[in-house]
Order: sequence, then structure tokens, then C-alpha cells
Amino acid sequence: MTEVPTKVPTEVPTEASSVATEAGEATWRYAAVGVVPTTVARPTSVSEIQAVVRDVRGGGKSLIPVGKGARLGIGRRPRRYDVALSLDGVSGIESHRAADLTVTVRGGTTLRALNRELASFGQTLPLDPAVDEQTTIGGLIAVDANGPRRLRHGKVRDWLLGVRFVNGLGEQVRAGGNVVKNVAGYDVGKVLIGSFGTLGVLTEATFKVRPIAPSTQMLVWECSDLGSAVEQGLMLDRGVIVADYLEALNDGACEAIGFECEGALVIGLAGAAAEVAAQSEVVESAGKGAVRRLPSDQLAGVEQALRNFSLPIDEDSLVARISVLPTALPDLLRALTAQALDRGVVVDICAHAASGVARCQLIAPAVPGQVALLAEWLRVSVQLLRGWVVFEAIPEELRDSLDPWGYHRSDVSLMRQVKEVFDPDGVLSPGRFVGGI
Amino acid sequence: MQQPRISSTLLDRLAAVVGTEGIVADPSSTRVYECDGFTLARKSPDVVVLPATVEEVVGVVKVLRDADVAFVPRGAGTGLSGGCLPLEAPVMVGTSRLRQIREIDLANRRVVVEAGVVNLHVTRAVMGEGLLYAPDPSSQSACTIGGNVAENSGGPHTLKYGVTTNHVLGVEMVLPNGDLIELGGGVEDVPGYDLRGLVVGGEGTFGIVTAATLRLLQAPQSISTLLGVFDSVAAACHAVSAIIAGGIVPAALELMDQTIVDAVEAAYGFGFPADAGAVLIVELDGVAAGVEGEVAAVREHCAAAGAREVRVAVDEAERATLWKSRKKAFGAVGRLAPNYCTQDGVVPRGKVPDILEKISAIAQRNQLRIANVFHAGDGNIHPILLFDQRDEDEVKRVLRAGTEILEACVELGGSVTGEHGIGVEKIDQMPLLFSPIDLRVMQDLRKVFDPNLRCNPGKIFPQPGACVEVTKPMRQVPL
Ligand SMILES: Cc1cc2nc3c(=O)[nH]c(=O)nc-3n(C[C@H](O)[C@H](O)[C@H](O)COP(=O)(O)OP(=O)(O)OC[C@H]3O[C@@H](n4cnc5c(N)ncnc54)[C@H](O)[C@@H]3O)c2cc1C
Repeated sequence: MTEVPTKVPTEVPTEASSVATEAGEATWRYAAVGVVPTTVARPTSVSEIQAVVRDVRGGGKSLIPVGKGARLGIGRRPRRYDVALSLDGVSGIESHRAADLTVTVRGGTTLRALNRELASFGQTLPLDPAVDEQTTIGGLIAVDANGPRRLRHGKVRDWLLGVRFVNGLGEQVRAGGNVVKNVAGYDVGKVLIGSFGTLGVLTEATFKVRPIAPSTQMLVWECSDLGSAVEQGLMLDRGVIVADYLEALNDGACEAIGFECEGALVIGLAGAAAEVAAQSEVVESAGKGAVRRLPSDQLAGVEQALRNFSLPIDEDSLVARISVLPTALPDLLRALTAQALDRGVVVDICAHAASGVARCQLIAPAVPGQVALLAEWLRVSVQLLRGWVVFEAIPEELRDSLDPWGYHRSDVSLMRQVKEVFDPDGVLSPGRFVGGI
Repeated sequence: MQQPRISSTLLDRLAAVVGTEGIVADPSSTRVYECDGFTLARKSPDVVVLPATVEEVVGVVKVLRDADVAFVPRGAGTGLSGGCLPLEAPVMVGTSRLRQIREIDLANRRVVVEAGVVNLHVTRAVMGEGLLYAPDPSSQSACTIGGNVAENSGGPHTLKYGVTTNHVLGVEMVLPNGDLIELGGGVEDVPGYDLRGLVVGGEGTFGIVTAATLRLLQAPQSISTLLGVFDSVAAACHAVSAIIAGGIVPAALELMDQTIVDAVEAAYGFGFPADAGAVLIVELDGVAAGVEGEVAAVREHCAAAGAREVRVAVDEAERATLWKSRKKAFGAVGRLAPNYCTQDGVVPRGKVPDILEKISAIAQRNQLRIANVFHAGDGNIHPILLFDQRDEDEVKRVLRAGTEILEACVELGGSVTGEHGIGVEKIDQMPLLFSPIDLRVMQDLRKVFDPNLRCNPGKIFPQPGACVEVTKPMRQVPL
């Protein structure tokens, strides 16, 4: 077990000019919604990050903090984007206090690398977003990347204990702490979660972790369609079992994963062997022959496919993430399926059934314009249900007509002022966020 | 600091909004509101306003805005850090008449409740359906959801289920300018900055929370509660570490030392061995098949750590008895000394033995008796400093020891408050945890909601010329 250093290393002022940068070809990799930066800065310490931010600010320019660049396509087109600030050089585990079940990790570390290290202690950070090998800790927090296991284990906000970040003025800021219970001062870390790089460059985070369950089992319940798969999921979640995840798939998603059915509910169980066995039997008796146990050698592959479902299949597909009340989900998804059929749009859907969240891939049909109409229908329908839909991937030709966020409540004005607190000069990711923040 | 008495015109305007039944202005009645559970700082508000509807809250806040008068929100007044002390605010706005449970959505496991609803009443309303509201502060039969949101309150079951912020989906509130806004909402994923997450734990400095959307949990299929009796606190701590290292996440893990055990035994006669050095309460819950295995494992861990006895509650009645011994622990402390005060520090879980050692050294150095009963599972300690307030020198030593304990928590990598908040009590310790830049960012965030600092001024942040000087530790209330 390693220990937390009790003192922050004394800060040595760094000149931005001493930070490694590259220009030219390599910058294409860091394009955000079609905007290519002119430079990539590769700082290797927090003080170098501060120097880059100060330099960019001084020059009246702007930057986007980037990890592996896997989610730079989410959000609006940045208003200005000169420098890609890569966190690759600020990675690794700062300290893992195994006995405390907490870990402090640098912003550029990937979730996969973190979990590999934790696994050697029988522990895990149970967040399971798409492409964990391309999800850095900074990115995980900035986009609030969650996955199927949110059902039992919650979201980023439920595991993050503290953060350190560099704000738009180039200052180092700390929020929260290293202990699992702490109410000293405001919970500023919450505001950084899902802020899409507009408030700070996340340099370090402290998480709670938990023991890895000794035993797991995946069950597949074949259903007549997506709507009934969601309904079975809601039924199971109402005190019948305690599942890690309940993922409902439509026909297209089943096909993509390799299940031969029109709809399926995928049930993930984890815990002590006796617990998993007992719960598996409960599901099997509820499913009366429609439930099969997935062989354990297929588990990792299917879980990965479920996690990665939110990635766009190609440049022409539109990815929608819907959040409504769980009970509203079956009918909404049935209506979406019917609308898509009418318009000749292919739609693949994978829903976190009991969380009321669905990820939908709308794939362009021969007749142009139908995807746009369907997206608009979806936004209106979801709003009527008092929910939200975010378009996480948008085909280029719809970019200017479709707002990825569609957020319009009165608290946007408070959010603008929050942005001012962290980044008064608009240095950090300007324009990407809700309301053009 | 001298407060200007409020004018009769202002009083009339407030009465026009809430009616005379919603105004408490007579000094003998406002005295009831002079302090919360942190009793060493006292100050009566000039007037207490009790709006009965959200519209009335908006009306009251607009009257105060137009008159440029500061105010402080108050729930049940069970706070333990002086959060609702009307420091530089002549008006107190109480939520005791905002008591509606607006919506119970069993299928989606959500409720919408007004701020004045008592914590326990939420669980009571849904218990019959096998659901519960998880955060369970020991004060849950009195404290309000508005107060819980403000303090981000915890409870014994925090270890497994998280604190208030993990269960609040949305917050409805009135900003100090009178705007009624909604943050977060009924659904899981809401785009934009998580301002709800900022208001939870904001200690009532962002505005008046009028309602919250809460997530409910399915009650666990099976619950098992164990009692381990040890010769020493160190041995009990070994058991705690072994349980956690063994991959078990108990629902609760509470430790009482010999002083507390003796006091509980003397007061209530639960049947603890007279010379027990420490007692550990472990609660396990979940799917029945899983709980069985965990009970066996916890028994083994306790035995290996040298437990002289491990008892498992055989039924609900015995389980209730075990919890009573924990929850009555504070009541029993009254037998040990005329006065006592409690601290709320946190250390990394693995550092619990270290902090206990330091506390005992601090006790010796200051010639004090300190008893310990605490949330061992998450490192949240509640040392109880025993004293007699007539002994001035002892009072000074208690104050010094309290500060030393909190400083030791910070040195061990922890925090000065796990669940009670900074309020006015721990303002001086904020710089131990945060840099001037960190503190400035927090205060700037506050100004986004309250640019003129009219809502609950004087709390959380060190101010030049701060006005509460704590000279007497008189807190009689437990955690
Ligand atoms: C016996 C006892 C046991 C306790 N046990 C625990 C425990 O186990 N865990 C724990 O965490 N705490 C515990 N506490 C502390 C206390 O009960 C909690 O902090 C509780 O949440 C306070 O609720 P309240 O309604 O009494 O709020 P109050 O004391 O009235 O107010 C607390 C703070 O919240 C603000 N506030 C209140 N209502 C609103 C509102 N509607 N909008 C905005 N701000 C508001 C006030 O301004 C104040 O700053 C205990 C206290 C006692 C006396």
C-alpha cells in the first residue's frame, strides 16, 4: 500500500514555451466536431498545464483538454479551438489506499489501466462506460461517462470523492478530499462532472472503490420485442432480484451482438456464488424457458458490446441518449420504433431498462432528411415526458440544424455565471456545452 | 455585531404574505429559535416567518429582497454546527408548514416532498410497499428533508447506501432574488452543470429549498445484525479492517469503546460483559443467500481478531435491541459527566486505530476523559469529550483538545466534518483543508445564487472580523 503525500509538491513556475507541442498532421486526431486545433500541447506536470492555460489565455486563444479524444465529437461545435491540451503526460496512480478502499489517480490515466491495477488487489471502480481503454479519468468525469452497471452501482457522482483541476485562469483548485465521508465546504466536484471541459482541466481525482464480486453470471431472456424486454426488466427490478444491470435490446441491437431474437433482456448478476445461483434460478423461473445462461467464456465479449453500444457505427449515424422515467420507456421506445419504420430509418436500441435511459443509433436511410425529422420527433416526445435527449453523435449535414443538448430551462443563466467563476475569459472549450457555454 | 431591528412596515408586508399565523415576532416566542443543536452560540431572530406554500415562500423572499434584508432558512433546528443561527440575518424563514408529500411514484421509486417533511415520514409513507428512503440520520424522527439537503446528512447506513446527495434527484428552490427554479429533476440524466449537486451540502447558503425529488430503494430481502465483544478497541479495529479487506461491504459498522459500553450497561442493562473493551455492531443486508455467507465470514473475522463473543440477533426484536444500545449510547453518556461535547472528524478507514491512539494521547495531555462511539466503517469518528462546565480550566482544555483532534484528523489525510457541516462551528478549520483559491471559488459560486449574500450570511467561510467566538463547549446532543 502506498501513502498519500501529505504535502503538495512545491510549485515551480513553468514557462509554457518549455512544454512539448506539435503542429501539423498530428492535430487532426484531436478534431472536435470538425474543428482542428493548430497545436497539441503535451504537458507532463500540473505546473506545465498551468503554464499552457496561462499562455493560451494570455494570447486570447482557447483550448480543449483531451484524453484519448474518444468523445470529442459530443457537444456543439467549439466557438474557437487553438490548442489541444493532451493529458497523456499526466497519468498514473498517485496513491491507492487498498485498506481504505480509495484511490487517487492522475487525469490522463485510462479507466482500464486504473482497473487493471485495482484488480490486483481484488478491487474495482465499478463504472463501465464505452471504450474504457480510451476513457481517461479526466474524460470520464468531464463527460459523465456511465454504463450498464449504473443500475446497481450508480454514476460517476456516486464514486468521486475529490478532484484537483486547473481553472481558466491557470490556477490549481481542489475540491472534496480523500475520505469517503466529507461535508467540509461546497461539493464543487459535482459541478465538474459532465462539464465537458468547460470549467477546468482535471488533473487528479480520488474515488471510492469496491471489492470485485467473486462470482458473475449473465442471463439472456428472449422477448418478443424491445418494449416487452424493458417491461420484464422493470418487473425484475421491483424487488424480484438485485441485478448489476438490466439491458433491453431491440432486434437490430440483438443482431449486432449476435443474439438471434427480436428483443432481449440481458441480466447481469454478481456477488457471492450462492447469491448469484439463487438469483439465476429466480430469473429462470420467472422467464419460463425463455431465459438461458450465457456461457462464461462469452461474458466479457457481450459486456463489452453492451458498453460500447453508444458509439456511432459510422459518420452517418445519429446517436441519441434518452432519459425518461423508467415506466415511460416501453411506450416511448415502441413509438420510436414505429416512427422509424414509417420513415425508413433503421434504429438500433439498447436501454438501461430500470434507469429509464436508452441509447439509440439512427442510421441514415436512402431518403435524406428523415433522420432529422425523426430526431425532432424524438426531442418533442421526450420533452412531453419531462425527460431529456442528448444527441451524442450527429451526422455532419445535420450539425447546424440540430442542437445536441436541447436544454432550455431557466437555470442556464445560472450555468453561464458558473462558467464565469471558473473561466471568465472563455479559454476552456468555449461553445461546446449547453446553451453555447 | 448589532442588528437593526426590523421595521413594522416590513413586518406588515411579511404578514400580508403569510397571514398573522405565519409570523412569530414576540421575543418570548422567538427565543425558541435562538439556537439549533449547537447550543453554545445563541441569538434570537427578530422575526420568524412560516410560509405554508411555495407561493408564500416566493412572496416572503421578494419582500425581503425589496427591503434588502438578510434571512436564514430553518428546518427542525437539529443541526449540529450552528447552521441556522441568525447571525447577520434578522429574519428566519422556517419550513415547518411546508409539509406536503406532493407525489409518491412507487413504480419509478421516487417521491416529491416539500422541504419541511420529516425524514422518517418519507420512509413511513412507502414502507408498506417494501420501499425506503436510505439516508437515516439518528435525528430522523425530527429533522427535515430541507435540512438534510442543506447538510448532505448521513447516518449509520451511509456506509453501503451513501449520503443524502446520492439520493436526491431534483431540488426546487427559491433564489434570494425570488426566482423559483428547479435543478435536476425526476429523471436520471439531465444535461448541464449539476447545480443540484452543489445545493446539496450548501448549508442553506444558496436560497430556500422548497421541495426535493428523492430516490427510494427497495428494502433488502434479508437483514442480519451481529454484535462482537472485544477486549480492546484495537482488537475491534482489527476485525473492522479484516471485514473490509475480506471484500464485505456491510450496511453498517459501528464501534463503541469501553467507556460507552459501561455507560450503556449501567443505564439500560443490555447484558454486555462488564469488562468489555469494545463492542462492534455489524449489519449485513441484501439477497438472503449472500447475507448468510457474509454472516459466517464476519463471525470468523471477529473470532480471528480475538472477539470473546459474537452474537447474531435471532429476530427483529433482538435486532432492534442491539440498535437501541447504539442509538442510546449518547443518552447514557449523561451519567458519566455533567457535560459533554462531540466532534465529527473523519480519517481514512485504515487510520482509525491511529486517530484513536492520538485521541487517547490528547485526552491524557489535557487531563480529560474522552469516550468513543462512531461509524467505524467509513472512518467517521465522534469522540465525546466529558467535562464539568463549572470547571473553567477544564472547559479550556476541552476546547483545546477538540481543536487538536480535528487537526489530527486533517494530518492523517481526513476532514474536520463527515456529516454535521461547518456552520459557524468549524469555520476556523476551513483553511486547514482548502487554499485561499479553493475558498474563493466556493464563495464566487455562492454569489452566483446570492450576489448580495443575503441568504444565511456569516457561515462556512472565514471572514475578516468574524463574530462568533466560542468559549464554552456546551453541546449536549449526540451525532
Ligand atoms: C440527536 C441528533 C442526532 C443526529 N444524527 C445525525 C446523523 O446521524 N447524521 C447526520 O448527518 N446528522 C445528524 N444530526 C444533525 C442534524 O440532524 C442534521 O444536520 C439534519 O439534516 C438537520 O436537519 P434540520 O431540519 O434540523 O435542519 P436545521 O438544523 O433547521 O438546519 C440545518 C441547516 O440547513 C439549512 N436549511 C434548513 N432547511 C432549509 C431549506 N429548506 N432550504 C435551505 N436551507 C435549509 C439551515 O439554514 C441550516 O444551515 C443529528 C442531530 C441530532 C440533534
